[in-house]
Amino acid sequence: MRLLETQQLFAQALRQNNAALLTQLIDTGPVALEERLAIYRGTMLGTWSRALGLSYPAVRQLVGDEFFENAAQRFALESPPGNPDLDHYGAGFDRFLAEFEPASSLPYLPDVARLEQAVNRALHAPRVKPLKPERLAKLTGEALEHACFVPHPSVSLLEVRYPADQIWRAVIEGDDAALGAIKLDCEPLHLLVQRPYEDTAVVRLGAGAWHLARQIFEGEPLGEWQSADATVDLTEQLALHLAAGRLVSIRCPGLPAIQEPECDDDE
Amino acid sequence: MPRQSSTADTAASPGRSPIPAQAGIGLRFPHHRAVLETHPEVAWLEAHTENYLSGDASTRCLEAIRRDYPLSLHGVGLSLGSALTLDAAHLGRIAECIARLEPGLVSEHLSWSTVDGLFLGDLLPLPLTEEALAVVSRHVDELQERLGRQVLIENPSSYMSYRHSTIPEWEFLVTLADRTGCAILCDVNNIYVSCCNHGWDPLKYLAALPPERIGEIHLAGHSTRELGGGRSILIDDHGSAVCDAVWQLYDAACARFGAVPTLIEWDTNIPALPVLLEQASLATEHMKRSAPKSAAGAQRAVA
Repeated sequence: MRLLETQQLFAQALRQNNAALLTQLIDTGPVALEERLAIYRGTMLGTWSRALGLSYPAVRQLVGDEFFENAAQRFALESPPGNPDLDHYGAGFDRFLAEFEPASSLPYLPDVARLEQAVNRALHAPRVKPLKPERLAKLTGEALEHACFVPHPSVSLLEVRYPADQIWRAVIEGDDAALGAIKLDCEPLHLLVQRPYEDTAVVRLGAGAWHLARQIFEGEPLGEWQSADATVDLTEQLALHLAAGRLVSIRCPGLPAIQEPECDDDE
Repeated sequence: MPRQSSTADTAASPGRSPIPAQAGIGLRFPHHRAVLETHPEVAWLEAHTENYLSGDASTRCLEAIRRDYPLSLHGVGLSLGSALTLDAAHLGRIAECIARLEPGLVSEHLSWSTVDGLFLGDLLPLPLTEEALAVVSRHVDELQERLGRQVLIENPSSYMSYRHSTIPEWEFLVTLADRTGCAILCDVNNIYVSCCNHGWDPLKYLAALPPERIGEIHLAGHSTRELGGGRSILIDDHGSAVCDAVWQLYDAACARFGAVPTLIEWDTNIPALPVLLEQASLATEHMKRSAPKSAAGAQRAVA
């Protein structure tokens, strides 16, 4: 049998836990094919669920190791990793948990998972220097109107139904008193996650500021930004994002991109 | 002292410092802080390449540790045995990581992990055929060309063998090294585990490996899974101390290969740092006792 076909069959046997697929391929002896396959399948599922456990530490602590491993393995069998860079594996785990019947008594779990996904993205984001606020001064008039901003790769915006930020922080810090004091019935929350420097920050924004931030981070031209909330000042918000290191570059049609020189490792 | 002295100019790149023919330990996340803060006396460290692909805190920590110790990078995900092409994006990430950390040695496995865009999370066994040999040779060539340096390829531990294999594993490895110019990372524990599981002779395996090709040795613990009816299989779980039988085989390897950089690997039930250092000291003792004194390794074809 050709190598590709062998590997496809092996992968199928592993995922379906079906050793019979390999009967023609593998020598057995006293140790049965099922017993041999079980060793590889155990390692595979262990690698997958361990990777998810590293990306979702608060979810794991909330449900306990055994429950987590079971959920993670089921998710991984449905959505296995596509490459060996497991730092970025696990997108969609929040949606899986939302549908996962055994977790239905913890309605906030998918929101915590979404937050952890954003935190994980921030942790593993490439090092890019934030744009210095004074770079904006280079632009005036029409160029400014057409300017589009590129967010720092660590930045995410998310809207959650439950106070996922409070739950996440209390779990990570092992603060049971804080966890017990959290009120689950609150208005939907608008969160921003970022890590332009060393520490990952999770901050709450007002709904108006959050919707404006989304327009900015999605690269809409400055002249088209709008806010339904009259208390949200566009210039002030842009200044805040720049000062917090959330933007890395400005793109204007016909002009070279404005950004900081590449990161060197000596800073 | 095996440790590099730090230069006054800390901003300077540490450069690629060679891995000494002494015992080192596998560096895992739980020991990052202890290594940084206590600077244990150990000749060198080896880390898994795939754990340091992004600019996260762990990578920064390894960059700091790397200023004080010779470092080897051991890949666990490139899937050199995949029938189709190497994952170009992953190869790029690895190359970037290696350029950043400038390790003294770079190694990978004789195995496969990826098919049809699916990463199976284990070092899976290859059928040992001419086709597989051609595939792995092509991929090792590509890897060495991309990195601009020689790599070491490690013999796997395995629990299955294919009916259509035609080449003994030791012969497969040696031919691979001959064709590509790669070195061999001889995992003595893997030889022991595979030989027990497949009924091969570990001394015959060692005797087939040319000393000048051996660039590194791995040592680790394994466990025995009882299957009932007096049957059992050895599992390469890196979860315990090196056992007596593997130390004996290591003595035989040292007698044949001379003094070679030797790594203690421990990946599950990871113990406190002193336990690993103790295992490394034991390896040093065995190496001193068993390796021939005369110009060991002088003929090595390892960069």
